[in-house]
Amino acid sequence: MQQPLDSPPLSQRLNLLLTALALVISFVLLMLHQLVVGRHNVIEELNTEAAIIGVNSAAALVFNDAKAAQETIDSARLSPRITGGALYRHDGQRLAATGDGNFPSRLDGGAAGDSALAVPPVPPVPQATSYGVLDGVFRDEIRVAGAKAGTLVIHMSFVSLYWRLLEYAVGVTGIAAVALLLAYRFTRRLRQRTAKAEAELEQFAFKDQLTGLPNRRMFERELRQLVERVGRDGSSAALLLIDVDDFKNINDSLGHEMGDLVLKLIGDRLTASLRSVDVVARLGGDEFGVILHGIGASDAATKVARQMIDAVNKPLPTRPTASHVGLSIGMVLIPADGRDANTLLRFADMAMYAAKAQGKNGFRFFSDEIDQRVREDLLTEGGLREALSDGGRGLSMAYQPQICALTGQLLGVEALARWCNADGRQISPVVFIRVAERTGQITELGRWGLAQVCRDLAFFRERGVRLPRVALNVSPRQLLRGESVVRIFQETLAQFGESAAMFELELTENALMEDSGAAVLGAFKAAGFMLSIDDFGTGYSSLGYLKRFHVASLKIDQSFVRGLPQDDENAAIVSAVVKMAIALNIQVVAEGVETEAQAEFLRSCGCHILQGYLLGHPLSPIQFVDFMARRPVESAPLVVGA
Amino acid sequence: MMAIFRRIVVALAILLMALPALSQREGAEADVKAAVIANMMLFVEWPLGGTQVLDRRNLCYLGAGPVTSALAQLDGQLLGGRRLRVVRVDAAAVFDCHALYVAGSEAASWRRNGPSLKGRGVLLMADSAELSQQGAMIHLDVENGRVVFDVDLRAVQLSGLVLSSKVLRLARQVRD
Repeated sequence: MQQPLDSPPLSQRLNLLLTALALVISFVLLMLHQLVVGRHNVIEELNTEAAIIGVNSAAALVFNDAKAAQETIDSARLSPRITGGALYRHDGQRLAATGDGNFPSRLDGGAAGDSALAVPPVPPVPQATSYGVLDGVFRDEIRVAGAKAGTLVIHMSFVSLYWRLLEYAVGVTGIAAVALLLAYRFTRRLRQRTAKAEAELEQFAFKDQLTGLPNRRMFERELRQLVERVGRDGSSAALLLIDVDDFKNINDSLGHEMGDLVLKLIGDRLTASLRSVDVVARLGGDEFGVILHGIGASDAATKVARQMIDAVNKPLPTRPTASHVGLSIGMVLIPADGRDANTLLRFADMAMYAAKAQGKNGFRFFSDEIDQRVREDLLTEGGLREALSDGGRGLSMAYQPQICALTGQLLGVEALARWCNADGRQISPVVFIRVAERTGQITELGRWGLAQVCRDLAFFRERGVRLPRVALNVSPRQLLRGESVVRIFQETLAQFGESAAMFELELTENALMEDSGAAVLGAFKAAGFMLSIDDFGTGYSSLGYLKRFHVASLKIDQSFVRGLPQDDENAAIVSAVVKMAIALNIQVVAEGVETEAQAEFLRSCGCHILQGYLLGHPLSPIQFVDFMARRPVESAPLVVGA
Repeated sequence: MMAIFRRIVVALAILLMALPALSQREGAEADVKAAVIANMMLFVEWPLGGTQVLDRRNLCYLGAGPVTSALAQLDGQLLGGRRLRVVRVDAAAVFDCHALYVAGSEAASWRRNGPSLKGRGVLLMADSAELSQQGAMIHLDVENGRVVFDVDLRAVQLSGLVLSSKVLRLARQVRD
């Protein structure tokens, strides 16, 4: 993009002005100096000339020779500065005069023939030499052998000096102007080159070195200009924020060099799939930004987004193996979704995260819904932080019973987090657990959860309720910290004097599949905790892992239970899972049992442990105590060994 | 002393101013001639090796006339820082004179003695026509009511004197 050259910045103009001022001042000082020296020289020369005239006219004065005196004084006119002169005899009588005349016939005082009425009136001769600005009068005695023979009076003018100075000034100015002009002309090439270099530097400041695409600075500038233009001429555009999915994996597995290559290739492919008027920029890391000019409707934008995703999804020629990446794209329409650059970026960002959460390698348009969700999430995050820092104020654990399908005995409970926030509203665990996982607060929440369960266990004991075991959900996020989480759990248990054998940690299948999780799970096992797989059947599973981690139980996800017993597929899956579990000597629990029919089917499959609304809702400790009290006595808790 | 000299010159200058009206007055003319004769000595250089003393100026005159009377008046004045002595001499005994004025009446005796003074560094001045032919270095005359003088430069040079060019310029005629 060609940028117009900026007019010289203020500092440059100021520089020029100061230079000019300095030049003018030095010029003025120079001329003043010339003036002073010039006048001095003129006066000196005049003195010399007067002396010469005096010597030459001495004899004429002594001998009263008017003719000779006139000749001598006439010679004074040769000097351009002398406008007139007169020789006066010793007695003050004028002997000879020349030039601009107006010399009184008597030196001091009036004489016959000089009256005040004479036209023009004759000015008197000053008593001594005096110089004015424009002219002056020189007066001196002429001596012969020490005695005064007469007086010499000279009228002089500085005007010729001033003319000369003026010529000099004009000449200097002219020459200086010509010199400056020439200098300016000759440096023009230099200045052009400088300007070009500056422009290139600017370009560098705006380019991303790796991909050659515009960088974030330039992209934001483009966006700002776009927003302005849209505001002005009513055009439209679309803003896309793109995040490369799982880029970290590529860096980790193939190295940073390959990672850089991938980014460059992505940049190329994005550019290729867009028009030349569109802007593609690398905003940093694995994030890209795109501006689609003139596209303000979702259909066209969707088409472009699909094109980009398809282009990037193609295999990347990396070494030693080819790789694939996906894109998560968040899109906003301008001006439909906003008119402010910062807001638009924010919205696009939210939309991008929504696209990521939705399953990656896709796109999502920003909507109020997303905005709403993000706002709520922020509130949730804030509230949760407050609650956790306040010792878990508002948070509580609810306990859902796990009942034996055959005997109806209480075999265990699942502890579920509940939150009543400062407003008194119940926040759904779906929401706050999700937020906690995203923000990392899950770790603290988990720790609090364990502590709270311990407290509740004490409460239960006081009330005479003994729980066989407690199942606690553990988020994969908690495993990220490594084995320190195990230590924290152990500390908490020690604090309350509870045993690890009491606890069953529920993890989703994916947690097991993560490499980072494996070591931690081993540590948990070693510490005496039982492990169970939550939502079994909904994620990835390696059946071999079931053995490896000595999983204590499987929990069949409620989505499979819901369809029972009509849904043949679900029935088949459930039946198979139960058989497998039994065969592997793994306990199996069915979640979400809500109807008698489901319960019956499960019983018949051989799934003995049921959890769901049919059996009991998640209850607060007080409610649970009450629940236990109302149950038949024979359902004494049975501890199921691990 | 200087002042007195000045006063004389002033007086003479005043007289000069009124010259046209006074041209008939012989006395005035004589005074002017005397002044010219005396002032002429300001512009002459006498040789060092000459017979004259250099701290004085001796102005001698030969004969008698209105000019000599006027010259006698000037005795004792300061002339250019030196005392002017005006002395009447005899034709035969011209000693120690810087300048000599020969009155017209002595023209005859001059013919006899004049040549012997040549080369002795004496400034010879006269105002008569005959003497101008006989070695007078400065010849005074009156022309158009003004006193003028002619210079015989050869005679001046032959006597070893140096006459300032300032005066030569003022001369009516310079013969060399």
